Amino acid sequence: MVADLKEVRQPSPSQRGRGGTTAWILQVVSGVLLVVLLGVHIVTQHFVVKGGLRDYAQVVSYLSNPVVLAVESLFVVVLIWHAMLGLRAVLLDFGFGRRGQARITYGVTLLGALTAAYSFWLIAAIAAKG
Amino acid sequence: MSATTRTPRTPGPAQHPPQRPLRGPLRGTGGWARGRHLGSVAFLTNRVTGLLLIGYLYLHLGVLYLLTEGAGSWASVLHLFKNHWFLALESLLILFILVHGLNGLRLALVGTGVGVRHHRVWFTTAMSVSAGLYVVVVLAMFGVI
Repeated sequence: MVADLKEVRQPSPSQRGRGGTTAWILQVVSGVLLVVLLGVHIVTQHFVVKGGLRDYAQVVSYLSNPVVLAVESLFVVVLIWHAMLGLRAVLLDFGFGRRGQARITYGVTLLGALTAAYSFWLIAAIAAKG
Repeated sequence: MSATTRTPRTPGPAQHPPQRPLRGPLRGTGGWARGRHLGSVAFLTNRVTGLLLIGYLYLHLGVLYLLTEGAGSWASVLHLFKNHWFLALESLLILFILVHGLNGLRLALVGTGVGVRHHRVWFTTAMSVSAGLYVVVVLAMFGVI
C-alpha cells in the first residue's frame, strides 16, 4: 500500500516544520526497550514467586538487591518516558496551534517528572524497609 | 401528468464514493470497520490500548503506595488480587500490553519503511501472537499450566 500524498492531510502552518521526528524516534527506542524491560518486570514479579504475587517481605527483599533496584529504576524511567510521549502524540493530533502544542509539551513533561519523582520515592521507601 | 413528462427528481442523499469490498482480516466485520483501512484500525487500537495502559499505570502506582504502610495493608490488597474476577481483569491488562507492544513494533517497522507492502501480514501476525501468548498467560495465571 502506497500513500497518495495528494490525499494525505498536510499539517497546518503552525505545525509545519515541527513534525516531531525526534519524538517519534524516541518513542520507538523507548518502546523497544520496554519490550525487554516490561517483559523482565512481569516475569520476575509474577512468574517467579509461587502464587504469582509477592507478599510484603518478598517485595522488600526483592528491592533490596541493588541490581534489581537499578533495573526497576530504569524500567520506571523508560516507561514514563514512553507513556508521556504517547500521551503528547495523542493530544497533539487534536490540532492545537503553536501555543497549545507548547503547553501540551510542558504539561506532559511536568506530569512525567512528577510521576517519576513519586515512583523513585516509592522505590526508595520500600527498599529502605529492607 | 402525461407519460412523457417527468417530475423532477428530488435530490437524494449525497453520493458517497463506491466502497471497496473488504478484504483480508476485515472481511465480514461490516459496520464500524467497513470502509476503513486495516492500518487505521491498527493505529486506533494502539492509541486506545496506550491510553488504557496509562490509566493502569497510575492505578498501579497508587496501589503500590500501600507497601509503604506496612505488611498489614499489603496483605489485605493481596487478598483482593487473588480473587478470580480480579485475575480476569488482570488478564485483560496482559492482553492490552501484548496488543500494544506487538502492534507498536509493527508500527515502528512500517514507520521506518520496513515491510510497508506487508503491513497487513505484520498486523495479522502480531494479533495472532498476542492471542496465543494471552491464552498461555491466562492458563498460567489460573494455575492450569
